[in-house]
Amino acid sequence: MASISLVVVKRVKPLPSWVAPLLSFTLGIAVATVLLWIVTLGRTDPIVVLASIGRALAMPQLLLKNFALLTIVGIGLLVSFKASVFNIGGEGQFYFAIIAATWIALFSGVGAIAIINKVLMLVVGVLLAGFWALIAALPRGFLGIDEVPVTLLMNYIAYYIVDYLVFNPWREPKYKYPRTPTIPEESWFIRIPGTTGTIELILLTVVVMAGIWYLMNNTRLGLAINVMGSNPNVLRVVGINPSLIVVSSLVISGMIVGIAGVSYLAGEAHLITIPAEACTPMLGYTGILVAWLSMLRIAYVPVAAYIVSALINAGINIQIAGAGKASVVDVFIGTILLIYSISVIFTEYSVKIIVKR
Amino acid sequence: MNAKLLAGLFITLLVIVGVAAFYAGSIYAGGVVVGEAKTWTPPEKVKAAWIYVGPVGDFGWTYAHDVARRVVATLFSDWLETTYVERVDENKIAEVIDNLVTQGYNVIFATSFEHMEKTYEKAEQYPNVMFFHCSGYMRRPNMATYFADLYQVYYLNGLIAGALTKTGHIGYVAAHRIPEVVRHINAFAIGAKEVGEQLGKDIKVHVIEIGDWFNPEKAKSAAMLLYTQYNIDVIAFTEDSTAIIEYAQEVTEKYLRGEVDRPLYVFSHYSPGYVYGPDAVVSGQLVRWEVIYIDILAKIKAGVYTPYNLEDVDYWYLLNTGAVDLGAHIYKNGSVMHINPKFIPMLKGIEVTDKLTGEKVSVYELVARRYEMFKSAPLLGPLQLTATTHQYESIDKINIPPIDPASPDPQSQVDYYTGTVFEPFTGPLRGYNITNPSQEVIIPAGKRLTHDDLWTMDWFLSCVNYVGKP
Repeated sequence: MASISLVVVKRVKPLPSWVAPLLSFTLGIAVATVLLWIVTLGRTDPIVVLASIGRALAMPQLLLKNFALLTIVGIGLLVSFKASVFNIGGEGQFYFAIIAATWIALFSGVGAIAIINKVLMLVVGVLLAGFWALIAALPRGFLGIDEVPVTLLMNYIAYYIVDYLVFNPWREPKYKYPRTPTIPEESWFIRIPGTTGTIELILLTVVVMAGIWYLMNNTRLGLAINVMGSNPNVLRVVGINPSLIVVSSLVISGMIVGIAGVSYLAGEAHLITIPAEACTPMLGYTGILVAWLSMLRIAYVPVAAYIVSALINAGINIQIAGAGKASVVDVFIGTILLIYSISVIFTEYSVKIIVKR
Repeated sequence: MNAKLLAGLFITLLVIVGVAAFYAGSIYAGGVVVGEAKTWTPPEKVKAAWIYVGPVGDFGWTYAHDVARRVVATLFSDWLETTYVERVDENKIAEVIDNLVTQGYNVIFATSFEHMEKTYEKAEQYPNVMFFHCSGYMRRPNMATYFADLYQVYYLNGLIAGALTKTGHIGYVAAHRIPEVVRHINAFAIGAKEVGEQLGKDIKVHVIEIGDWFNPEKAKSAAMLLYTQYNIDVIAFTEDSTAIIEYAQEVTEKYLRGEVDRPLYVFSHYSPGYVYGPDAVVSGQLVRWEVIYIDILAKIKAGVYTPYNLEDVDYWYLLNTGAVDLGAHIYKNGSVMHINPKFIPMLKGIEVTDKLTGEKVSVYELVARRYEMFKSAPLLGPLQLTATTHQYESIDKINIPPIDPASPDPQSQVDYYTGTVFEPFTGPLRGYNITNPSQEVIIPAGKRLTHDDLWTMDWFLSCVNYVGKP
């Protein structure tokens, strides 16, 4: 009797960390292309799909906005992931920042005053986003209530609050369409000609990257967050309350995502449309992918953000080329994340097939 | 391989490609002509792209636009190339337009109201691309607006609804409470009242606003709520799926089997919905966007429309143009089923007075007469193309001065109708302001509402009951 068994062995030396992301991008694109070709019975031409992705990758001027926003969101989520706190609530924090910034721009009376308006939009937006994260952070930190369902469900609460505000008190008065009025042009971020990005957005991206890099590498809090992810008991030993670290990582994470929210409103959307749950650019969720693909390293977040934003753009190009529908891009992103999740296991473990006689 | 090296290589590559693409893009995207003499040669090949808010399979608004796209693509196949991008909402439209322009599309149709501001911004950015925005009001030298409006058709549907309802309660499921939909609800209510009151019914139109253009579930549950709670037996709607038709068919089948006390008759919206409810669909609104698209594209090809002269181009097409029609079905040979034959005997049997002539006619005859009046308005068509001539549409008739006042020549004694002979939105009408229901709106007898009145309508007729969101 021969028996075959699969044995999972921990690798003595893990594979280099770039293997998993690289493998998931290349293999993910290949698998998704073949998958689409099969399920559409050959109507989705793989060559057109690959050409669209290539074209998108080669057009940074069209990707700038998504690239920068995804970088900010990715960095923000990374801060919480580092502490093993899984902030799935990026969408809610994003929208709370938008609520605050919209209020400042439209109803506070300072909307048209240069500099003050943008500074206030950012400050209040970031604070409100942090507050929204705090609501999930406190029960996680002090009661140990799992943050994943809490932050996820709070996204929907945020969506519905936005829907209520825009449908009722904030509805634009001229045409009564369910959206807010356009925020004053003085509060718009300044577009970089020929690109989709804005000057403020690029500055914020650089500041966020540098700031978080400094925080994580040169401060006590950053160190504690890093340690929290691997062994919270160490913190107790050195006299740091792990609860506080959990709370601060989630709140900082939310605040950074809030920066992306304000930038999205002031640089791109200029008004809120509802239903938010359908009109959202989904950056809070896509940012999770970016953070994971960066292997939680700040320097790689922009790389992952660039590729993901290229894929989003490729989805549009695939439609323009007549090769597929709007959902094509979801297939790509889903496949890449799936392959990443699988391959990341194999960087630390190997599988051996043993045949016994 | 060293990870840092890899990342470094990648970033260097990006910068190089980026700079190259940036310059390629900025050369392509134009700005080339700015400041120079604006001479324009119509493009050899027109590359037109349609941007849709819904899926092309919605069998409503987007489907109708895409049918029209396929009509022009087939008709003008020797010089027109088309594509479309579907499910584009406000957060995606800027990127979609950027990609289209980069790929050389020189005519872009944005087909939803919420595309307006972003399309306008992009039109500013790409001054050599022609933009056409459906249903909005923002225009510039390279951005025109167009719309095919259904209010006359809703009025005709209303006449039929007023005859069919037994309870006097009529439902309306609205996507949004915007002037376009408000206008349609009011026109429908005016028609229903005109016939219903003559038959001794107290007409009430109950409106639920679902807040979505395409949402079959919400639409169906709103219709269900109206049927079960508000005692309605006829319904019309503005939503882009067939959900309400299918629900009405279900109810009407039950009624025919004797399981419920009243049917639910329905007017199909936008696309020919008769096939989804052969027992319940009475009539409906049809649209032929191709009437407008053919006109626009032919004028682009001929060099009439250029990126410098679209500022006043504003199509406001009604029944007279054929861009909209009364009906729920189109037969294979292209002819229209205006009213479901199942309902014709009933409508021929109900007698009312034509308030224009005082004659006793059947409801069927009344609908036919009004339809004819809307259809034949020979002077109206040319006025409906530009923002500067809409003001003349509401002048019902003019008389020309005689050559010799002493003995007026025959033509000087004839009425020249610039608009339609009959206009549903003519006073006396009574209503209330939507945002402030205590504020009464009174349209004095004989006053015809103008294009601008219709375009910004923010009041409901007094027989309209706004139920709210479900």
